[in-house]
Amino acid sequence: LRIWLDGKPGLQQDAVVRRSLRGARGRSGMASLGEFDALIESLGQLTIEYLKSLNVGGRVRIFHDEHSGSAHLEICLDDQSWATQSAAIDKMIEIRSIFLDEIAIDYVFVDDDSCGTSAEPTETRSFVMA
Amino acid sequence: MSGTTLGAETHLSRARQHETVADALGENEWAAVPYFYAAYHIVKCALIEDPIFDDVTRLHGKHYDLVPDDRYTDRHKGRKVSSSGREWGINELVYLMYPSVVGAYERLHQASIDVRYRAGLRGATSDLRDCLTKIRDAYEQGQMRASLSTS
Repeated sequence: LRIWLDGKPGLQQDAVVRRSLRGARGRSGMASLGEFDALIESLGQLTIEYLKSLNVGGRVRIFHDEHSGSAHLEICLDDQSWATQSAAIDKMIEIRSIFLDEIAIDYVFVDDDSCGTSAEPTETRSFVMA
Repeated sequence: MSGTTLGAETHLSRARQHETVADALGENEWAAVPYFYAAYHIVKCALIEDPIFDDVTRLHGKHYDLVPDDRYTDRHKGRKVSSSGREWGINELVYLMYPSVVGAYERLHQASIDVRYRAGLRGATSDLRDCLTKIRDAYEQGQMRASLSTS
């Protein structure tokens, strides 16, 4: 599943984020697909919310794999300066800590020419950034 | 134990070597890569030496999914496989164990990715050197002990 979430103003869903995260965390484990999907939805929305606090637009694409309980985020920032990326890294550290008990998260920032391009239609993807 | 069997001293030695190479590269963006791997080896050394991994009670105080052998992980990214338990990534362990340096560590990691997989380094190599210095100083001053860290 790939989710492109637009980080530009107008798509604030704070209440949805908190409600879905609370709901997902309130359940026992991630046995069903629905629960894992709720987590991924929460992850995406919360990431957008946190990145918005940097006052910069952007998008997040999430590749996730329920079997490995992992999610890989590709983050496209409208401002791709080091200062903005550096601030976004701090936000992602917070995001990872919030979801630490539920999902193993990693992330990369993508370049302008990779933002919004249509990737292969696979549902999950392995990333090794070793 | 997974992957590497290097001892703490070897990790430290590798860290010094990577730092020397990075310094020699100066403002060349590829300095980001050895700077990151210098940090990686310092963290690996710290994890191996950290006494919290010898005390399961304290270890579980940090996180209930941690086990003593997690000190040897060599994955950057973790995964949470229900059938075989959790496999921690170093990035997660740095956050859990040494939160005072996690920002510096993640900046180095991302900068290294920028150089290797993306359009190039966005910042200055001097910033990355500062990140490594922060991590190295924390290690040398004995601050990279999970029991002493605040999260």
